[in-house]
Amino acid sequence: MRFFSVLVQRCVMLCISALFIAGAATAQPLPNPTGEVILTVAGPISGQNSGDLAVFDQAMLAEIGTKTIETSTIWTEGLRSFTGTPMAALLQRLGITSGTIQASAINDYTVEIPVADLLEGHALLAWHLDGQPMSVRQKGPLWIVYPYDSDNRFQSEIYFSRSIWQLARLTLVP
Amino acid sequence: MVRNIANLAVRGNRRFWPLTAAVLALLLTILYFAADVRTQINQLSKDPNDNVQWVLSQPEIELLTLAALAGEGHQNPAATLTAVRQRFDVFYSRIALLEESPIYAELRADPEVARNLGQLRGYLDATAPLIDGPDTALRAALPDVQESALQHRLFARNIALAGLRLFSRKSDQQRQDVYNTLVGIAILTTVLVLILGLLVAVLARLAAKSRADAQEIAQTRDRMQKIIETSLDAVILSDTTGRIIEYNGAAERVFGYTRAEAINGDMAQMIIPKHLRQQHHIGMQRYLSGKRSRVIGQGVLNLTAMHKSGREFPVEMVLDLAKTAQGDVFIGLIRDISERMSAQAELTQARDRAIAGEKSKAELLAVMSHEMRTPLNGILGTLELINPSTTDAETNRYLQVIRKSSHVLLTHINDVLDVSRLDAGKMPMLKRAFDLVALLHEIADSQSGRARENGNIVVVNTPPNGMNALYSDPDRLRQVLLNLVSNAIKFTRNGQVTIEAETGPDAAYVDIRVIDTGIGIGEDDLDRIFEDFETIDTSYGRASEGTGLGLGIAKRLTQALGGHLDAVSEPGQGSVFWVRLPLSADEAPEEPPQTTPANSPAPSFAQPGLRVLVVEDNAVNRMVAREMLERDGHSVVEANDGRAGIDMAQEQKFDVILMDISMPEIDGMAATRAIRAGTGPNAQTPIVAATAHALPGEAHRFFDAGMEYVITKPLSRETLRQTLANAVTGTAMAPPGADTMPGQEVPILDMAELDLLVQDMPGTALAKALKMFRAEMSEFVNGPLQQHAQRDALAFEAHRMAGSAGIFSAKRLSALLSWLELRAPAAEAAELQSLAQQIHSCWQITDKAIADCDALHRVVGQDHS
Repeated sequence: MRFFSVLVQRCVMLCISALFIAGAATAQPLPNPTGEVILTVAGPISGQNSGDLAVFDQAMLAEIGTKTIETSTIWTEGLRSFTGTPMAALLQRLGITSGTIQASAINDYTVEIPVADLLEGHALLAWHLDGQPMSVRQKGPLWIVYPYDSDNRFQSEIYFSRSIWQLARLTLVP
Repeated sequence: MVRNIANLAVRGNRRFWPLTAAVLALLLTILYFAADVRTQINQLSKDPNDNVQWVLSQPEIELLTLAALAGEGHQNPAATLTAVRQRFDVFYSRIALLEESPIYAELRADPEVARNLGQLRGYLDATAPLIDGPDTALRAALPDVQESALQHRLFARNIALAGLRLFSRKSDQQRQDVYNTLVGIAILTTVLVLILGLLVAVLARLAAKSRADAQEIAQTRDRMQKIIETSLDAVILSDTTGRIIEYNGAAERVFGYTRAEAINGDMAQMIIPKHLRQQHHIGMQRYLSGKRSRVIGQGVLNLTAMHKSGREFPVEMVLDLAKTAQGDVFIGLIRDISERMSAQAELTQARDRAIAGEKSKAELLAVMSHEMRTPLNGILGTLELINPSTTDAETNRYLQVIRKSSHVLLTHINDVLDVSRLDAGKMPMLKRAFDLVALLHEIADSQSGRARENGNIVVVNTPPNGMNALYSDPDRLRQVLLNLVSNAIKFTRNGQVTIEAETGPDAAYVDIRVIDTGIGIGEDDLDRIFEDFETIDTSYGRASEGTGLGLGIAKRLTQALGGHLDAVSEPGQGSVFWVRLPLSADEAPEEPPQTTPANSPAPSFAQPGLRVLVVEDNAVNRMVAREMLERDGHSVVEANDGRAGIDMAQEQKFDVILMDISMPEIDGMAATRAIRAGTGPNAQTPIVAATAHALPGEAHRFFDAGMEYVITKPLSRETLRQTLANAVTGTAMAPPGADTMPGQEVPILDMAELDLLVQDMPGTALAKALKMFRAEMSEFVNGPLQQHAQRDALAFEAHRMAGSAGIFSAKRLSALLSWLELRAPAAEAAELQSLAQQIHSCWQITDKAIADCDALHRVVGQDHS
């Protein structure tokens, strides 16, 4: 019994130190964008680079993480290749672990996405469609997509509504 | 019972499978529907349509916004054009979405929508170069952009309205589909529940039934157990290895082992005798190898079993097989039948003793009757010798009583002899074709004298045809009918006795009725009259003499002939006795029946009741002659030499005299001459020469002496009958045979004749005679035959022995001896020597043949050795 409680204590201590190390990593401020700003993140986040906001050009997003998924969507024809930054990686970079993200399009269309859902790792902040940057007319420059073909649960209204295109701003509501 | 349940289960399965299939089908359908529902729910949850209303309404709003921004940009030249450009791009993306997205493919198919969409596309394509162009050109075109945007609002709205109509319809359709599916599931579920309910009910019933069956099985088992326990027979059950698995109380008593000892014991070791075990094991092997058993299910078997003590005893056993879950079980029911067997053995012994006793009694009766008859014949013969003229009247009266009583006694003895012979089956039936009509007339004629004494007349009534060829034994039938007719006469006074004959339908039988008008017989007595020693006490009691055997004999004789005898009677009116004889086709005679002219007696046999004098020195020959004559209804007086013959012929009248030729002192020829020359009552009486000499020369000597007929000894019934008939009717006889030395063609023994002799002679008498003959013959062969000095004595002895040999049908020996008699007086010594040798060897052969003769052996039995 005593051995067990010691073990639990050790585990807890290990976890705490791991968080501390992670926290230290995210504490680094973001660099300043050199290209056109395509994303603005507001809210209680870390690493702000423009006042209390974090702003990104496409290169900064690619720097945080790049991933390509192939899927069909209900808005496009045929199988398409989406390349972008996993939302989970972006949120981690900004030290976001909980709360809700308000995602707004350039026409101010806004949806709310739970952080927990994004941290699952499926959501992709796409900036290339079939290897090409997306214009506003092609629902660019940013489009949150899910791997709809991989799981039926992504083919539901809730995920379709979260798949916001012409994305411009993210706001963390804790 | 087990089998019944198995059947039930099989039947149950068969009955339930459609139900089961239905349930399965329903389940599958429900599953299918459920999957459908799930798909539809999935579909609903997926909502591939996104937020359609939003998407559809957005283009118009974007156009309005664009128009507003363009108007604003036109009025305020300082304002940037970024917002206008961005708003156009957004609108562009909206229309592109409508053009591209699969969700709106159906919508796009609507021509109205397609036209509107085409208008918008035209707007986009026309405006895009301005938007993408330099600011100055765009700024200048802003009023056009504004106006154009406002103009195209209508197309956007049309698309939105068409879209809303389409998607609400689709949504309705989807809801209806879900509704239908759910209703289907509900219906199917209800049906399924009903079927399941039915199944439950059926199963409940089955369960109840199987409970009842189980109870019944338990009760049956209990009953069987009780039956086995209380069975009087031993019950042993064993498995196929012979191990005892059940053993009841009766088995304990029968085999001596207790139940505890027997259970699990080896049955073969315990109850099968050692010497039968091998056989048992072979039988077991045979069964185990799958072959059909010879004992199982074969009914009651008689076997030998073994007690614990090793004692063996007979048992009755039934063995059968029961198939059980634990393998085959043999069921043996065993009954100890020792007591029954011993009782049966005792019974058999008792019966055998009784039969033996009865037989010896019958034999005693036969022997005694015969032995009594011989002295009685002596008495009667002697009585005949008394000359009534030399005695006084009183003595004559006494003599008459003695004579009458002796005759009655003789009749009784003959009756008893007949009964014992009939009962012993020794009375031969000699069936042949004969004329029934003639026989009936003959009987009527012979009885008419006695009938007249009682004032009766005898009438014969026969149909005109069909009665001349009956096939039966006429002598026996005559005996029967004589008895019936004489009874009828006896019990009738001043009346009529009618003899009738009539054939039955299809000539299957013939009825011969003897009808009298006498005193009749009471109903109570009618049943008794055919029984032995029954005499009905009547007013004529004194007149009715007899042993009471007459009807008993008649009935036996009729039965021996295959017929039956019966009677009806009305006291005071008369009686009818009738004999019914079968006329079966297979007994039809092969030769045509001897037909005779009407109104003349049959020549083949003489009328009965002849008085015959038999003159014969040989006692055996006398006895044979008497037997034959009396059998035919004649009366016989014997004379044992020529002198006595002459004396008796002087005393009384005979119808025929049978005269032996070779007799001491006065031979047959001398006696015949004396009778013919005398003045006695028999001077004209036919005399028949009875001789072993069958030679023509001899025969002439007999005729010269005054004899009319010659009969060859040994006597046969047929020739005797024929000769008597000839003698009575005065028919001349045929000349005798050739005069030669007998050779090999003459048989050693004449079997047919021998059979007749056996039938005619009582066994004991025959045995005695045979013994005497063999002793005499043996003495003759070893004595006189070897001494040729006294030729006359040799001839005489040869003659005597020839007669004896003839009796036993030793034909060749008899002929050789007769030849010796003929040749002895004058022959050369060498010839005599050779003849003697021939006779010697012939005797040896004959003696052996007699010893081997079955017919003789049967009768003579142990006396012959």
